[in-house]
Amino acid sequence: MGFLEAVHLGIITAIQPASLFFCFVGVTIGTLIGVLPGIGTSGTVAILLPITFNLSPVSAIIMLAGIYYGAMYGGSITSILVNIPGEAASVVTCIDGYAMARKGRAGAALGIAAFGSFIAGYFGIIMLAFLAPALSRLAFDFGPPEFFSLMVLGLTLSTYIGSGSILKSLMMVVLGLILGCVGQDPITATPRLTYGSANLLDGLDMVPVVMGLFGLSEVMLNIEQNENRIIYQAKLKGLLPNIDDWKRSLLPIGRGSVLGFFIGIIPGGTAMVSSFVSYAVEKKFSKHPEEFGKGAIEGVAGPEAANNSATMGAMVPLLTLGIPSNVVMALFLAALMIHGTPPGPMLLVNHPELFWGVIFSMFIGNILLLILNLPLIPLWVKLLEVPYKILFPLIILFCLIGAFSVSSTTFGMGIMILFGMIGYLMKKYEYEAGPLVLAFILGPMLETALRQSLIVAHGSFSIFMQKPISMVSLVITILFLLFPLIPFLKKRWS
Amino acid sequence: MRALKNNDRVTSLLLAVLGSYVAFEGYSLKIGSLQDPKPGFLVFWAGILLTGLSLLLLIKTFRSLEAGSISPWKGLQWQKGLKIVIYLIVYVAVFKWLGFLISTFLLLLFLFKSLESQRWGTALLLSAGTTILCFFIFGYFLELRFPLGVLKMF
Repeated sequence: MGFLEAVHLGIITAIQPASLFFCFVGVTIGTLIGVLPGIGTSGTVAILLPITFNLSPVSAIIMLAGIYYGAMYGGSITSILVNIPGEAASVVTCIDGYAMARKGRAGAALGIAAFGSFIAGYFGIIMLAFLAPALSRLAFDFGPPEFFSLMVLGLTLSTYIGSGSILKSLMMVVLGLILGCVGQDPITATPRLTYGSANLLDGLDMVPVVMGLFGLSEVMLNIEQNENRIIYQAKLKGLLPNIDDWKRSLLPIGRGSVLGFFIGIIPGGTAMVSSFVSYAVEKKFSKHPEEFGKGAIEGVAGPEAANNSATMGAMVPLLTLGIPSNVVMALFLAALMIHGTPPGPMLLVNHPELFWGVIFSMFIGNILLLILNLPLIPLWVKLLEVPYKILFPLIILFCLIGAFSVSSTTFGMGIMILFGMIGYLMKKYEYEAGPLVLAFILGPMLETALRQSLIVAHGSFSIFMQKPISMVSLVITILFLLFPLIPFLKKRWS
Repeated sequence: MRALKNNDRVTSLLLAVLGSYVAFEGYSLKIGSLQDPKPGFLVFWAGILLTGLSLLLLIKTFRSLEAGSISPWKGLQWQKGLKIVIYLIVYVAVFKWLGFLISTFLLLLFLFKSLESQRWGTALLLSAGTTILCFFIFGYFLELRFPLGVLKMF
């Protein structure tokens, strides 16, 4: 399919009434969960995943994508006005965004966050449209060794996502792999770790597991704390940044867009990581680094651009290789599998309308978000006033319904509750859930690729070093695994 | 360097035990060989790896000079989380028998009323309204088959 033909197909698919409707629904829900602290993107996508079962694959992915990038826009509102990040990716926006609000410049901060996200969003979509087909063609030559090594690299890099210990994250990766083994063996269909339960033969369902780990556990943690939100009360004015604001923000937005996109592509790179890197870069580049933390607009523009661009970058490995780079992308993988449209190099060949339709819907979605985020900011601020004691029972109920809807049995609900408790304890004892979920979802694919590679190579691990992409991935993996040992070795030598 | 807490000792020990158990399960499933890996191959090696990493964490807690004990429960109302879990377990247990409408209404009422003090009127209205709305959206429009339970008789 030629590029112009693909563009035509994408536009036709994206402007269908159903696509427009689900794009609107997605970005609205995304903004909503971005605004409301206490429920993240992963939890929301997991909760809404069963609802998409009745939709067409295009509508489903358009809506889920809308939630993902919509949350990046919404997250900045709470960061700037309440100093509470609605989304993990907006944590860094609190620093200068809230400082700007306290100086009476909340409007400019919100404005530049929205415009920065918009520009970065468009940059990311264009890059995705050009890069993904090229990478997809390259991926046709990939065999089990390449996929295995890339997945190992992705899982290793995922241990660097969070703020916690890398060793603990590695333990969670292994635990995720073990959970992924539950069910029938992918090659011989032998039941493993099922303990005679027919419900476990197909493995642990991902939706209740993710809902428990990210939805229920979050509620349990939030409810035990005494809430104290101070919402910026003054009337919002000047949402359009002035010329000086633009002068100071254009380069950070540009840098944030490029950085965010490429960090998003890296397995394990998340919107949150990209926003932190962008903040550090802007502080380094700034002529007035002393203003950072006291209301520097560059500290809002760069990270907000980066986190939005990263969401687009994250789509590249998923759509072209079928390898998710973070938890939300892993949920997208599940959604695509459920709808019979497995991602990977064949997606562009077999379902071009899905690939190009989603890309062009993102162009529309970003315009919708700009409209939703600028004139409607007072409405989102009002929503912030909804007390958590009203919200949390609703979140729990949606988790229960979502878990029930997967198999129409109470088994899914039980799994959700169990993983809710596990997730709660994990957060208490500082174990990251992200690497666990990523490994849990990639586990069966990783195992198949490993076993196929070993069978082909008659048990020799050298097969992983014979293919260039596989070798490079494994070398990078080893370097990242050895990286935490450097301070220890330095100490010993000195 | 992050301060390693005594809590890590307990969790690393638990995970080491879990890893050993998984390795044993993998061994029972048959590991096979590198030429012909069997169903227990990944299970066994993942179990061994989890045990190894957990023991490494355990050793680190003893070597760390910054070790201290910070309770993750201190100053928090953790009983609320426990209450939620109990309510949910009861909800799942009676879900089929009482049906979606009654069990969900009661669950929401308990959550609104006993965890955070809502007024009776508000709690009743929110519980009933949410239950009916969810029943129509998910059960009627999205065709989810909710059990009717005891209401089937009417």
